[in-house]
Amino acid sequence: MRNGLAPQTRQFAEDLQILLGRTVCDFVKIDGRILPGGTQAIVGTNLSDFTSRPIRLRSSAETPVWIDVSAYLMLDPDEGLADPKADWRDVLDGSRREYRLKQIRAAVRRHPGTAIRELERLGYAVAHPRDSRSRALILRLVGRVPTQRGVGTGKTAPERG
Amino acid sequence: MTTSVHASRPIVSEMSQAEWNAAVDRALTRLHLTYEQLREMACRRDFVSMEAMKLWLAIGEQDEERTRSAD
Repeated sequence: MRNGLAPQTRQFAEDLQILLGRTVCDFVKIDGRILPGGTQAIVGTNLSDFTSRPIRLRSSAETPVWIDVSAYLMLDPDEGLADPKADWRDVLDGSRREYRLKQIRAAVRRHPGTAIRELERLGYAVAHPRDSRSRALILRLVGRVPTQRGVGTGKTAPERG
Repeated sequence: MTTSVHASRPIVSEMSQAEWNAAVDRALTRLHLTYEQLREMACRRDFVSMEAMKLWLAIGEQDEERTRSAD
């Protein structure tokens, strides 16, 4: 295909198809149409001509549930569609930094053993919490449910550290 | 045009102007609407159905481009 929008359209369609197929749909078909002029494209479920049509959603509800997804892609030939403010990169970086820090904190809570081993490998000395309140707090955060035998079987049980 | 429901790799095709015009006519006919009626709904931001709104999202911008290039 000669225009520049086709690869992005194909990739977007494929990503969307894989996402829906692996999550909420048993059968999903996503296609794309490049519109005349080559600067716009439509991606959608079960396309007929350029119109998306609904597909069945996995659901335990008695009434069938359908999902209809369509997306409009646009090539910016003048590279001037968005005119970001001067500090746009700082704003984005700051936002990503906070997101990454939150992810790291969550990962440490979920996999304390791996976090401890990695810190120790780097030369840190990690002190385990000794008081029962701290242990209880950590166990609650990582989802272990104490039982009479003393070993939890919570749904999101962490690895044993 | 593709109508399959089975998961296979997405098909991306390029529509010619003639294919596009014919597809727009089919879509309008299916909804029992004229282009002008659809455009009026868009001006009022009040579409008679979700299908009508989807159709305008697809053809409105394209139409505006065509209008600009014809001027």
